[in-house]
Amino acid sequence: MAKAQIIPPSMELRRRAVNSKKGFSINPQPEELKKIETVVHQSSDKFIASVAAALRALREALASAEKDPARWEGLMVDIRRHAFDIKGLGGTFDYPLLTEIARSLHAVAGRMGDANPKQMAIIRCHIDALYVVLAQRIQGSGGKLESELLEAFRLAVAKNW
Amino acid sequence: MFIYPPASEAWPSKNVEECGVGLSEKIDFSQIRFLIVDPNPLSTELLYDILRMLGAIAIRKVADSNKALAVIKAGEVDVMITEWIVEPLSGIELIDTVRNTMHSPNRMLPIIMLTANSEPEYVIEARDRGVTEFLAKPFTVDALYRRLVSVIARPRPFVNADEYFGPDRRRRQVPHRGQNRRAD
Repeated sequence: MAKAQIIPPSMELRRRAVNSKKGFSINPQPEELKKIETVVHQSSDKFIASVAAALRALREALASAEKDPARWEGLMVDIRRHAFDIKGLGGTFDYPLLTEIARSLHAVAGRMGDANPKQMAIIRCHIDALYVVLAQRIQGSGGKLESELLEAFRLAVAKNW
Repeated sequence: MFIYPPASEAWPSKNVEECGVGLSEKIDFSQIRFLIVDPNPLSTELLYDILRMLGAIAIRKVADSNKALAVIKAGEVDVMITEWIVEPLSGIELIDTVRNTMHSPNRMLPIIMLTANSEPEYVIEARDRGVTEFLAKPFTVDALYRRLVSVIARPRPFVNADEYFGPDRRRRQVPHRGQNRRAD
């Protein structure tokens, strides 16, 4: 086996960008980070509108798939895509519950074979729970009720998949 | 053509912890060209807005990996931030292409994987394919900022081995005081 070669890093970016006068501190103070966080707060309404639109689309698609099982596979693709997006953004906008419910939904939607009524019901419950969190603007981790909900999803998924 | 920095840019002989960076140093993000690769418009816009707030002015946004490769081949990017779920090449395949194809224009491009595929197996795979930094979504501003500082101000040496080309995966340089028993 040939020896590994260690290649020194290029210092080009450091040379170009690191200085003592202009820009953000390498070790930022809390007020500097707060300034950057305002960008997140300013996008919060867009995030809520985006999730609401995705959930509306999923509810309509779920209703169609329940009438016509041939649409099921396409529905699962859509569910995975939307769940992935919500999973990835919820916590950034201080909706970690959205992230956790979407994480569960993304995982089960990836394991669906042919639909069975129980699995479809659990998928519907996930989407309904996302609706409630969004509609009630439940930010942060929620309380005991929310923890029990996540545990209930975990148990239902473990039992039915 | 492989791009290696000339000897004049060789990493100092001191270890990373000693070299460090000064506490009063700043990063001028206007000097860095960013490429965001993410099919989700909201995620892309959020990242773009954060980079703009930091002072970055050269930020390209693409939703697919073919366009990302075109930007990289044109030599127009200094740091790439990519999601895993991208098409037609996934983010991990994109990293593989940058790191391991003979005609890659910049095998040592700093790459931050910013993805909702946050489970440990994804972190491990990204690391073993040569990602520079990994950040799970949902992310905090603080965590994102630290990754940016890392790739710009604290670049790591690269390892060129039989089965791996990418940043040194050892995150701490710990001096070894024992006997060197590696076979030559």
